Amino acid sequence: MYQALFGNAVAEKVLLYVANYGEGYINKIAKVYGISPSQVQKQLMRLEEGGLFVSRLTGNLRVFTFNPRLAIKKELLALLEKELTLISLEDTKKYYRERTRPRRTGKGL
Amino acid sequence: MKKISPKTTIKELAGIISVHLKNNGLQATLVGGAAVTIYSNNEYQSHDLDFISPNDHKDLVEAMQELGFARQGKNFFHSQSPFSVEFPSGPLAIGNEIPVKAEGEISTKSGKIKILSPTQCVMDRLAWFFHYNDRQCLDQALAVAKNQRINLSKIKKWSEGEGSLEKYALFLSKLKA
Repeated sequence: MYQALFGNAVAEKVLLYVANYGEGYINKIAKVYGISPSQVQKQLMRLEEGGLFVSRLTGNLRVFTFNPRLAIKKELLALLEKELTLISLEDTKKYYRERTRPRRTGKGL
Repeated sequence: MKKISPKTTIKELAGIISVHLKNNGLQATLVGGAAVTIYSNNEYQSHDLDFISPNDHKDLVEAMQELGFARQGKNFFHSQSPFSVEFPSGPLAIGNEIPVKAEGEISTKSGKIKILSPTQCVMDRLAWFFHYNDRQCLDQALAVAKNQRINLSKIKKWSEGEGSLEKYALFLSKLKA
């Protein structure tokens, strides 16, 4: 929607994903949007190098979140949150409403 | 007692179960998605009923079987209902607030249901948003808040205790949008 502001469409998707879910990792983000992991990785690294994201290893996964020390974090999240409200209901359900709360093993969906 | 049929709504089913358990000297509080369905006037549709009960699980199993439910693992199913029933381990908790006393009670054709109050239901959903970034639950909290009278100052105070005032502010902005 505003990819010109974020540099490119993949960077915009990565930012929206992490703003929505609080965190994200390469393969998951790539799978959700149907784009290549290498494209996602490139943008995550760029955003980390630029100080917008930080990452940590969880098992074998490198998980990215917004940098808590980012001076404009609150404003950037507000901007992304606004953009999330402008996305169609269909795309919101498709990309931004995956269940992230726990579900007991064996319990059906 | 009303018969369970495919047309029995989640609210009516909760009523039938609650009254039957009470008649057997058992207590149960309806929590989770089913409470959201009831308070959001079906804006959100849950497919299972979660009851928290302080009673022995064996007694609950017997009572549910009397009602025609069959046990499959931790879930109970009725041949005439699309909804499953579960009795998750207690005590009742909302986020870091443990234990919690359910403050809600609603009437059905079968009798009364002990349930979280609308305010507690919003807090219960927000807990999943606060701690797991679950946007489905944020939507559910908003659906309840838009359909019921809730105590926002109580929710704000609780949110502060959960260390989630920023996310509470997001909830509030969406509620007022």
